[in-house]
Amino acid sequence: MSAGTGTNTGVDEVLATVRGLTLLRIEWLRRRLGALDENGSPAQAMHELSNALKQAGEAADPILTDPRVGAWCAELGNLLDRGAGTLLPDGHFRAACRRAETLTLSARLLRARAYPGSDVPPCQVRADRTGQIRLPGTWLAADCGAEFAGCDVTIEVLAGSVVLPGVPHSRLITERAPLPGVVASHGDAVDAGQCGADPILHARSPVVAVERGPDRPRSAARPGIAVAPATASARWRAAKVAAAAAHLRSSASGMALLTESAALPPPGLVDVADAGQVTRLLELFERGGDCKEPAAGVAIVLGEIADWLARAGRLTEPGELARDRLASFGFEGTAPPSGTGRRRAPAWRTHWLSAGGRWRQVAPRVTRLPAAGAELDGLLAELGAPDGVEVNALADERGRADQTIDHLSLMSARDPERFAATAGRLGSLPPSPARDLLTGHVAYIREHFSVAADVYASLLSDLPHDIDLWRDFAFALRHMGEVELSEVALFRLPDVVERASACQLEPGPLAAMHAEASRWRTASSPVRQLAGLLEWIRLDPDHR
Amino acid sequence: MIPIIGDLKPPSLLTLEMSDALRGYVNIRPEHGQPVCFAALLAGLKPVMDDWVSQDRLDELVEVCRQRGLAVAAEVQFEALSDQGRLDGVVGRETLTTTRAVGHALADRVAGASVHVFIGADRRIVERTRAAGWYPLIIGGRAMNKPWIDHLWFGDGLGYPRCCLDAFARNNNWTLNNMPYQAYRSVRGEASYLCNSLMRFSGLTWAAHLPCRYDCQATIEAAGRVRTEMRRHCRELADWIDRLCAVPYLVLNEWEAFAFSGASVSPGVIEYSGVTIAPSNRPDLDLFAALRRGASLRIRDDMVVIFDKGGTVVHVEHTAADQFAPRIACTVDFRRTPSQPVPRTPCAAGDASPGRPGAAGTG
Repeated sequence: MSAGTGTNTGVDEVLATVRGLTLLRIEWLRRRLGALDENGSPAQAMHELSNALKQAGEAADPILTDPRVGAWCAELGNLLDRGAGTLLPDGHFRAACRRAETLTLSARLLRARAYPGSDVPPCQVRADRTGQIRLPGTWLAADCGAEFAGCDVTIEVLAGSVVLPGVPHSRLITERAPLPGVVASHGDAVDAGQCGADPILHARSPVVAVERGPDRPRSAARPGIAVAPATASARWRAAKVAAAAAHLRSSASGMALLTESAALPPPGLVDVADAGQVTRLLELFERGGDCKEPAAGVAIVLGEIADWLARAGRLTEPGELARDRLASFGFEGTAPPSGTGRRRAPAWRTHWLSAGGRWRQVAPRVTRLPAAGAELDGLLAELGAPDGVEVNALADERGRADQTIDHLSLMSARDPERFAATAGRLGSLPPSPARDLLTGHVAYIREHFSVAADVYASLLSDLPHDIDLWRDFAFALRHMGEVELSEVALFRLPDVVERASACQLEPGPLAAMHAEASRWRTASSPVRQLAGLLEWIRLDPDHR
Repeated sequence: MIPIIGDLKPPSLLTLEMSDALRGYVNIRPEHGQPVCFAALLAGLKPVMDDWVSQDRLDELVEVCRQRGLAVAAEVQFEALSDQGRLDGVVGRETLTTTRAVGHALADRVAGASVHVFIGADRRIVERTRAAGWYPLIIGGRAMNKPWIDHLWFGDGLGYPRCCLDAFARNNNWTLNNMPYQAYRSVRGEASYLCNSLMRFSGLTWAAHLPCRYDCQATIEAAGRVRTEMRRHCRELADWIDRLCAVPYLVLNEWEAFAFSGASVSPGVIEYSGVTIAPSNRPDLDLFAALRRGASLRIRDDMVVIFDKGGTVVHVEHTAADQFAPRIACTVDFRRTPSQPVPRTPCAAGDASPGRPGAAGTG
């Protein structure tokens, strides 16, 4: 879908597209409901609708282009995608299926208008929550009264007129003709709500399209198109959609563009702060090393962010975290940033060097653990990771990226035999980080916590920035009785990731920091090192 | 978490006569405590319970438990989010369900926070349950969840029936499913008040867990034993708990449930004289206010239509199932007694007539 130009040609093209799309969606819904239960009333109602539309032919076009019908298709499709047909077949799902009966009546009425003499049999349809029966495409509605909300009402058509014999006080209303506008909101109330109070009927522009796709924050070049990454926060997305809608309204009405952006920080900064990019920028700044110019550029951006965070009234917790992290690098946000920034190394860095510690070699960050071989590929797909297991970094705005442990957990509870077979298959696969990760998860689920901790620690040696792995390691420690250490990993995660990413963990320096507890002497080397790191942070009086 | 509000609100626990053993606990946890679970622990009917206590009373709780031969293991502190706006910037906030709290380390001094504790007779089991008993907490602006399998281990540690843990494994999906609805839908006989845990956040239910069915035999047996034990400790409180549990309920999801007094029930319809809202961290106070203005309700698929005494519609509540924590309206009548069977009320059966109070059948 693309932005319309406001000319008739553009609108006609859009309407023709919508017409075809709606027909396809209805057919698709019919097949899906039939697959659930061919003889069930939802499938039958959809079958009736398909037939009625077919018989009405072009006369049914106003139904197919009515935005409410598109929204209904999206709503029912979404319910089916969510498995409501089997999980929650009553309530909303049943009501959504029953809307087909109303549309069937609409199609028959339009056919009767176009071809006088065609029959409209009496039928029962359901009133909406206001007690009205709206017949999309006909511009006709029957008001039965509030007490009829959700009730079945019998409708007869006598000599071309709609009659409600069971509702003596009903009133027929002619609806206002909908504007030729379409809001492609993908059924998302957040997006739709940002386009105005009633975006479907009152949109002042031909088309507001909300595209969903990969994160391309700079690609919203065309006015009226809001490009919203699927992973974006609701606030970010809402701001983008509102801006696009405002622009289109302004273009169509000739009125000045009104935005609420004055209350918001500069867009670039919002993007940076909201997307949690501060950590990434700090890394860039820190590793700028010999390249002074890029480092200076990054420092300016960091300084601006710190200034804005310092000026802002109340901050969200991520905002507070970002402010604190910036402050620890000297970006206090009170003085204008210098060309090169001001860096104050945290004390732990000095302590590490004094203890003879070395820094890790800078290496490209791994973002995904790919499958190695077709069999592992298939297994990962079963476990919700068809493209390999994603690594979750602090800077990412995700609670959890690796869902494989939860898929395996559910499998172990719901289908123990399949879980056992899956675990068995893992043993025969060639070693790879993805396979090792699954092996660790299987050990965890089988309550072999020290084995799981060992696997997680080995992986963390190469993936110190993977916060999902840190969580898994922390919970393995927890089950091993190391509650306090596990809480260091959970409560001081940024600190843990920062030091694990920066320090080459070795027994000598850790021992010098008094972090080599004797109880870890028999543990494997990776577990021992990570436990040492957590002990060091736990004992560190310098912690933030 | 709001308290119980409505005409079934029980009196302050501190005003009731009770055994010294229970009194020791209630003095420390007079509100939102779990006296039923504590009584079950004292009788050896439950291996472990978890609870929350302010940091300044932790030592007192440990001492009370020690005197009764119970061990206590403390975990982290919970700072309940009173301002839901603070959730906006939380990464992974969509995974936060009935617990919405910021986590703090045990050693931190945080005003208004509560320490999460685990109590039981066998320290080994207490500590094992604590290991699995992590709640989804907000730490550093990020929701921190445990691996899913820990939920089952935790339920096992708390002594929940196997069939209910299996149902949890099948149905506990806040994105797509609705456990109270599944418990209702699975009823084979008649719903039992012993399985009614809809008020469990008040601590005043005979079952503390989400049952697999509202007529789950294992839950009925376990809860029945606890009820007998509680009557020994405090008959008046036991009577109050019966009163809270053995009434008809309107249930929408784990966040939203309402109890009705003076009620008559027929399929999809409740006529009532009083209504009480179940404690929740996401209570629907607007719906509660509408129910208070009303005198009867009818479930019509995705709508709950509320009428006043004169038959005028005071509110129509839409129950959407295409969102997180799907809502699906059910009426569940927990008043079963052997001499007064109550017909099962189909969930959202689609009462097809507009109806007026008085026209509905009585249960």
